[in-house]
Amino acid sequence: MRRELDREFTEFVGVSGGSLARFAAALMSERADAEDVLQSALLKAYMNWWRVRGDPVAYVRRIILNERSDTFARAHRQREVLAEDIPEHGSNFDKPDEFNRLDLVRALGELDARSRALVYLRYYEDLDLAQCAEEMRLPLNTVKSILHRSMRKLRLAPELVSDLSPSRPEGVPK
Amino acid sequence: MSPSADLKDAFDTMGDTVTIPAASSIIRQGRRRNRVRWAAAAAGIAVVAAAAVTVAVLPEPAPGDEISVAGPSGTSAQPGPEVAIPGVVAPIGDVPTTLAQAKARHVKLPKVTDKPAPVPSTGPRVTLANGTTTAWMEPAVQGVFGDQEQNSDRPKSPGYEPPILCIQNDGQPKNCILAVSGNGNAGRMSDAIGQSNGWGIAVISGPISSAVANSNGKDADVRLYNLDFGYVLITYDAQQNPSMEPPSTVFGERNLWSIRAFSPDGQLVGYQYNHQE
Repeated sequence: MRRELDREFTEFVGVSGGSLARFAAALMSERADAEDVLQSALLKAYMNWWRVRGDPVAYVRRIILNERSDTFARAHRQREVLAEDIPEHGSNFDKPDEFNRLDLVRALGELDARSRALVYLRYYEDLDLAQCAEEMRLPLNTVKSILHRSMRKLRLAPELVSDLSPSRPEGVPK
Repeated sequence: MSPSADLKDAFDTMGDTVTIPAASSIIRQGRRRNRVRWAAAAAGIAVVAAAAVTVAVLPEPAPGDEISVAGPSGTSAQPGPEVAIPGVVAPIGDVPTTLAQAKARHVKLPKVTDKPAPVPSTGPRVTLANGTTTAWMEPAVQGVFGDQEQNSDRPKSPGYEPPILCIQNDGQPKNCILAVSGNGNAGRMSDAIGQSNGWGIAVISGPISSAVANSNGKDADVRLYNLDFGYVLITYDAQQNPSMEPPSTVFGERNLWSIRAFSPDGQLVGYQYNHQE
């Protein structure tokens, strides 16, 4: 039984690891943080693998989202203090390293994490808006608004944002 | 390229830089954590992680305690005389806000987290505390303590066993229980590592360069503490050595660490904070 679960999990990481890594990268502003949340999420997923139902990728993405929240909460509680001289720099999106080969990467880095994650789900994973809303546990119109704003910030072609106008109740003027 | 393809390309670029941990590493950690959880449950102790257990049973240094950590000066290439660093434990949470304050005090990091530590690609450089023995701990040697596959060639990926060894004064490695703690990026922490053999327990917070390293230049990537009850404890500092680039990005900008070392009977024998210069 355990061997079977291990085999399944190994296969899952092999097949979906890249997708999850991209999602973690989209969500976090630093590579190391992305690796942290991915590591933690996979570990939690493995420890509960026997009860994973449905789409395991969506399941792990949800853990990654929770991990990110936990990470920020922990950082707040720990009151980390930096010294006055920073010895080195992490891999922020706005730094000239491999994250920033494209201007678009830099622009993505300027979005907040939730927006980046939504853009990723919508335009990389090709989830529809309802699925994005479900995964992010956000109202549909909120998803539309965030994506709309994000696309404008990214200054991408308007055809990408054509379906993003928040729906309005009848009778409400635009 | 279409805008949508541009976006996908951008996300690919971001995702490609994130190392995916090996499933085998995750499985091993999961099993270990489950074992600890079950054992703790059987004992009626509510714990979350192995490291939490380790820390919980150890005596904590009290604010105002005078403490000292001794270690070799110099570098591994040119070992120097023993240096003892005295200090006083500061209250929990009393973290210095400036480098000057950090230099002036020993502090205790307030939090233990549960992330694994990354591993330097070349293996930690070891200087024995008597100043006479220098060795490179090759990946194969590290493998004795952790996982050779993990330690050999992929230093950046989380999920690796930390490069922390317990070594006797004669240079022979010994198993021991170690827990690594800290916070932030650098606080990648492992569960208890290895097996207990009576050599005591050491709790290390973060990668260490320590005041010992600080007193001897910035090139130290490994510091080793010869504790007077017979084992030495080493860890490494990647930030101090630019040549060890991979961990340096992992550690990011966090820069306060501490080390606590305990004798086999549970007595605190060393406590040290570290900062980066």
